[in-house]
This record gives sequence, C-alpha cells and structure tokens, in this order.
Amino acid sequence: MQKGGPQTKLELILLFVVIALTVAAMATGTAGCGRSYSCVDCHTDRERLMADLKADPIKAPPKSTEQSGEG
Amino acid sequence: MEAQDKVLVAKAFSDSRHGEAKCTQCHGGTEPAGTRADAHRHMTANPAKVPLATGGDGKNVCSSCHSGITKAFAGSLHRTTAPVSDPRVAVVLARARAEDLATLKPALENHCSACHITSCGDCHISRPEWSGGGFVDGHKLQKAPNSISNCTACHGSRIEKEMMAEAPETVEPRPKPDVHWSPKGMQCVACHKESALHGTGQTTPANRYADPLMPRCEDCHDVGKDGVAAHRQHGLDGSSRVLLQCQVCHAQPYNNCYGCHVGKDDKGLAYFKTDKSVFGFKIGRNPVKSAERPYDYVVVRHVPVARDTFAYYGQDLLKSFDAAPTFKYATPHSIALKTAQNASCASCHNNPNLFLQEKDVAPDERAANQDVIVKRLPFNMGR
Repeated sequence: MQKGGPQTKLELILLFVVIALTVAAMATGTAGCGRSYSCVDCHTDRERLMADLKADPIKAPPKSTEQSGEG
Repeated sequence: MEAQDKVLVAKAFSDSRHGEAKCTQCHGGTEPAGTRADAHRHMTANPAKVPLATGGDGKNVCSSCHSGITKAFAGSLHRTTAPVSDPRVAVVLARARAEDLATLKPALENHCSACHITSCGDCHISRPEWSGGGFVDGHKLQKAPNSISNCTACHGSRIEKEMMAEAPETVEPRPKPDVHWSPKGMQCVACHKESALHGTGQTTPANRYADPLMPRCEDCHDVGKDGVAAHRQHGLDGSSRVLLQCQVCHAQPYNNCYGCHVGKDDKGLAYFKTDKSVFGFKIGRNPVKSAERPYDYVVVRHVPVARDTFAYYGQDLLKSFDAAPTFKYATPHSIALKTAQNASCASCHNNPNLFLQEKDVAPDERAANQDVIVKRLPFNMGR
C-alpha cells in the first residue's frame, strides 16, 4: 500500500461505501444539500420560487434598446 | 408579470388530465433533484414547439394525442407568418426586384419573423413567447386562447387598441370599444374559429384575406335580407352598382403606422423603429377586389413600410416600391352600430375628408396608391 492511501481492509470497505453513497446521491439528486425536491415542490410554492429567483435571477433574452414605436 | 408567477403551477393543473403525467415526461430534466441546476439539466422548457411545415410533420409533445391539429398548425399562418417573413412569399417582396431578394432574406429573418407562434403552449398554456411568456392560469390547459393574455399579447398595436378603445387621448370624438367586445362580451374565438387559427393542413393561404376560413360579418349578419335601407342602398342585397365593405359605415377610427426602419445595434441585436402611429379613418378603393371581397369601397390602413425600411442592409432594396399600395385593405376591430359617418346620408356624402385623396398621401407614396386613392368622390361632393 502507498503511503497516504487506504491502509487496511476496513478502510478499503469504508472508501467503497462512501463512493457508492456519493454515486447514489448524485443519481437521485440529493448531492450537496442532502435533500431532494420534486418539480412541484418548487413550482407550486410561490414564496420559494420568489426567493430562489431573487437569489439567482433568470436573464431575460437580450432585446435592443434601440427599438421604438409600434410594430 | 413577476418572474415567479410565470412558472407557478396551480394545484388544479396537477388534478387535471394533462397533469396526470410526471413533469419530466413532457419536459425532461431530472426529478427529484437537489438543486435548480440539477433539476433543469437537459430540460425542455417549451416542449410544445411545433416544427415548421417545411420538412416537418408537426410532431411535438402534444402530437401523440392531437396529431391532426399539430400537423395542420405547422403550416398555418400563425406558425409560419409567411406573408410577413417568408423570403419566398412575403408581401413586402412585391416591392423588391429579384436581384435584391438574397440581400433581403436576412432582413426578413432578423426583423419580421419574431412574432411566430411557435408552440401549442403559446395559446393553450402560456402567454406567447414573443411577449415574454408566463403561464396564463398556472399551467392549466386552456381549450381556447384568452383574448387578452394570448391574442392581444401579439395583436396589440392595432386590434387591442381598436377593440378596447385605447386610442390616444387626442383622438376626438372618443371611440367606443368594438361592440362585439363591449358590451357584447364576445371573445376573439367567437369569430376566429378553431379551424382558422389552427389551419387546415391543406395549403398555407397567401395572406389572411385569402384564407377562406377567415370570419366575415355576413357569417352572423344577414345584411342582404335585414330590410335596412342603408344596406340596400349600398349594394349589400345585390341591387346596387356600388358595393361597400361593412366597415365603411361601421368602423370607428383605427391605428395607422408609418416609417418602419430596421437595423442592428452595436451589440448585434435586431430592432425596428417606427416614425409615428396615427388614429384615423379613410375610405379608399378596394385594392384587392375578389369574388369573396367584391366591395368597391373599403376602409384602408397605412402600413409601416417605407421606401428605405431596409436601408441598413443596402441602398434602395425596395426598387419596386410603387408596385403595391401603402394604404391597405383593412378590417379594423372598432365596430359600432352608429358611427360618425353613418349618422345620416350627409355625414358621409357631404364629407370628402372621409375619403383617401391625393392630398392625404405623402407625395413620395402617391404613385404606389393610385389604385386606392378616390379620384371621383361619390356624388361629386365638395366639388
């Protein structure tokens, strides 16, 4: 075994478990915050949407400021 | 509309038939997810977009159940806006010569195709993308488009202002709302039927007036047999030599636009500018007389085209500018039973100002409007 790597069988098993849990979390969308949301969890909650969009606004498509008059 | 309300889903949607499916079934993306970015990765915000008829069969997320409609819609005027933006058949090309068509093509694509209805959702779920989008009613599917949220979101400058009496304050006498809108309370779809809005899938009409499915006043009003003297006198029962379009007597002033110029700003973003909009009313000779629209006199609206509309793309690209009138056959949505011009015989027949005359047309546009300008006023009024 290299210095700094897993030293025992127990450490190897623990490392495998951690990797497996991480992959599973990424697959189910719980990575990072430890909680997962369905689409409607957010899209039916106006306050949550408002807070989320305030923190991370969606940029509107760019429009020319030169435009004027009626089309 | 606030950003959160644009995407706020009503519980009633989840309880509806269309809400039975999982969100990801139509939109893709990931569910469940820990972050917005994860949830929205590989998501299609607008899965109801309909490919254009050319090379497409109208397939989208709706077509698994509504294939007949999506296929027809792919070639409809709302989807293609061909008379405005198609570089093969756009109306404005009548003013151009063949050698300039290639130069004009990007201009049409950049400036004249932005208001396509690209998606079933633009009428049945959300406000049109062109006007900023956002659910009309919490993602619930509307069988018919909402007159305000959908129809006038695009048809605002003319239809909305006329129908809802939103003329500038300087316009006197004040127009009333179109009688069909108020007090009758009719929605746009009361006249503009589903088949006309979706298209038939047979052919794409050359323009809206060439579409046999477009509504006509006579669909509801039996003007030939109603016994109204003015209808008889103006040929609507077939007994007179001079035939008037209904709007000649029943339209109030309507919007006219002048001087559209297009270009791109220093960020490369396309824009248009129009010089002015004016509410007015003019009777002209019918420039598009046909079996379906046989009227001798019609109301005419100035359209925003100018000789140098496309000057940004090249000099003198509308070399045949005079080949088409700038005052066009119009069907304003400003209808009233009683109008200034139909108050009495004299209110029209002794009022030459109602008619489009040489003096009403800019010198630069007189040649283009020779077929529309009224040269001999009825009963030689004012002469």
